[in-house]
Amino acid sequence: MTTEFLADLRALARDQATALRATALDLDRDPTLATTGLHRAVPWRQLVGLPAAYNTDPLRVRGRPVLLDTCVEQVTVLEELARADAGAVLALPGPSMSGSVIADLADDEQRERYWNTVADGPTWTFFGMTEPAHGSDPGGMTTTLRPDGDRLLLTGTKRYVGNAPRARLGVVFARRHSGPLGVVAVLVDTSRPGFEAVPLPTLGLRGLQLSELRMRDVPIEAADVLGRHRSATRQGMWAATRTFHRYRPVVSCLALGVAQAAYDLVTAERRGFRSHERHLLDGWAQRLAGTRALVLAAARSADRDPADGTLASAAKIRATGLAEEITTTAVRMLGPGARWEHPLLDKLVRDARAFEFMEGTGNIQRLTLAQGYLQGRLGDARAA
Amino acid sequence: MTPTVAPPAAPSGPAPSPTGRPAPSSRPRAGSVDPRRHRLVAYTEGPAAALAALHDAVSPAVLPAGPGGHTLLPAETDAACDRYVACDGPRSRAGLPELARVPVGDTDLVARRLPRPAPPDPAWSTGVAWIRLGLAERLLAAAAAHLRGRSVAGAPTLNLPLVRAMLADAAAGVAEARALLDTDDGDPSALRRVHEGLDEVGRRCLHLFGAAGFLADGPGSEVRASELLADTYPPPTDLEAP
Repeated sequence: MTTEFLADLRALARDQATALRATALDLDRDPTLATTGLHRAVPWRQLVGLPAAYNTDPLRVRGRPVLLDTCVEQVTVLEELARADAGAVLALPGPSMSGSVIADLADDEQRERYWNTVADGPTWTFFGMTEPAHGSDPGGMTTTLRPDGDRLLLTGTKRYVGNAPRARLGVVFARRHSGPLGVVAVLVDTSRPGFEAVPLPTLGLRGLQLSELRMRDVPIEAADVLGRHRSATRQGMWAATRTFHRYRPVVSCLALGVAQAAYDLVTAERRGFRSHERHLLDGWAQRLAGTRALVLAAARSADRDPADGTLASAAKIRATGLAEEITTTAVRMLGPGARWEHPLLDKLVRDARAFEFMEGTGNIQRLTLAQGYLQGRLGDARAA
Repeated sequence: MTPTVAPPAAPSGPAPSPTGRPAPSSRPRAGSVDPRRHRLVAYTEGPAAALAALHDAVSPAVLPAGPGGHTLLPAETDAACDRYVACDGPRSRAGLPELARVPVGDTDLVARRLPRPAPPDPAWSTGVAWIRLGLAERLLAAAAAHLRGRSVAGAPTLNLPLVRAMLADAAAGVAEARALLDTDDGDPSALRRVHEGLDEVGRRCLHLFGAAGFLADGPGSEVRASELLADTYPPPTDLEAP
């Protein structure tokens, strides 16, 4: 994809973002608006990466259909939407992270069932991995899938799962056997008995509606287990890792959008700047550009090889740090009481804090990046 | 949120009462309370109790305005005020609308905007800085307790070197803020650094809490309250006016 093509795609997204900017504070106050109006404010079908067969009227750039099913297209479009409201981007219906697991693990019947449901109308999905006591450490996973006659029962608790209270289906990771290969991914219909998704009130990104999944003997059919036709090493954690590698550039672009929004707000609300402030703003502009280049490189890498998350971790570290720093400093630059006078800035400060822990904390990203570098996966001069 | 490690050493100067609050019968007059005691109340009881005690000591019955003309007080304290000080003298507070309510602990902080208030009382700004120091220490203690109780691959999360490094950064921030406040000679740039440093400590601790720090009823709510105090009651400056 050429630079010119991506620039045109970005411009298109910037137009779409206007509608989200208008509803940003309302959605922050009342996350249920996501299901009552948000999907009518923007053409969600064109923006969430539906496959060609389910996306008969795709976005078009220079006459070419754009399905938004690649990481590169997603980070370009979603950054511009997040610049208006990152909470709204995450509150859109569609496949989100679960779609990546489907792409890697589903058989034909499961794929058809999943996409028929998701494309049927505005349908939300979720990705249930993190647990209260162990985060995303698969070694500590306590959610279980155990046999019960000719079916299976799913039991356990997941936390910080976005969109679950409004979802019709999603993917839950559960332990079927002991050991690192014993974790499987299961396609779960939220109407099954024993399944409950309870919203967790959060300080920011409220549109996402983080929640806790409480599952008690939820009946699961053999046909709901993803990856049943794949080898023992191509199961739950394999797909989860690839999903994280694909989605970290997306999280990074959302953080970048929030950082850019705070920069935009400061430059729009202030008239003259003192010289040290201009110096600060110049530095921010350079870092925004640098992070944007890094996020795009990470997206290209994820599209090329989702097994390698090295650049994705680098992008996430930089984008998250920049979003926190610019939003926090913007408060001081807009004078005493800035968070009362500029409710959108207050929202940006709160939203920016979510990216640190989404899809792995900064520490996890540092470990992945260091390991990737040491294994020669950054494509640097050593390999030339 | 209840800290589970020993409270910070009692500051020098007048010994605080067991609750950290001045006894009602001997309520000191404005400015006569050692501002360090507000740190201890903030550490042991949280932001609302500390603000109430500071208000008792420095600004009884009067809404204290920050340099932008805003107030942020616990709902009970806010309701007990009958006036504020405008540039041309005392004014009734009747009819001032609420800007926002910020839930923290078992109460709300209430924000208002005052028309043409007099410049803020330095004793209030200094007291707020001490409160923020106590809140940062409370947060760091709670983060350490949280991580001691979690494990990664069988080992306490608190023992991971990367986690220790973040904890050390936060501890250095607390130590710097305390050193600056201990030698406070009324220099506004020192107080500005205290607030910036404590903002950094807060963010670092939120990183230590992970997603738990993002919940509205978790430790993040006190970080938010502390940041809003810094935004509402920053020290006087010539650099911030838009």
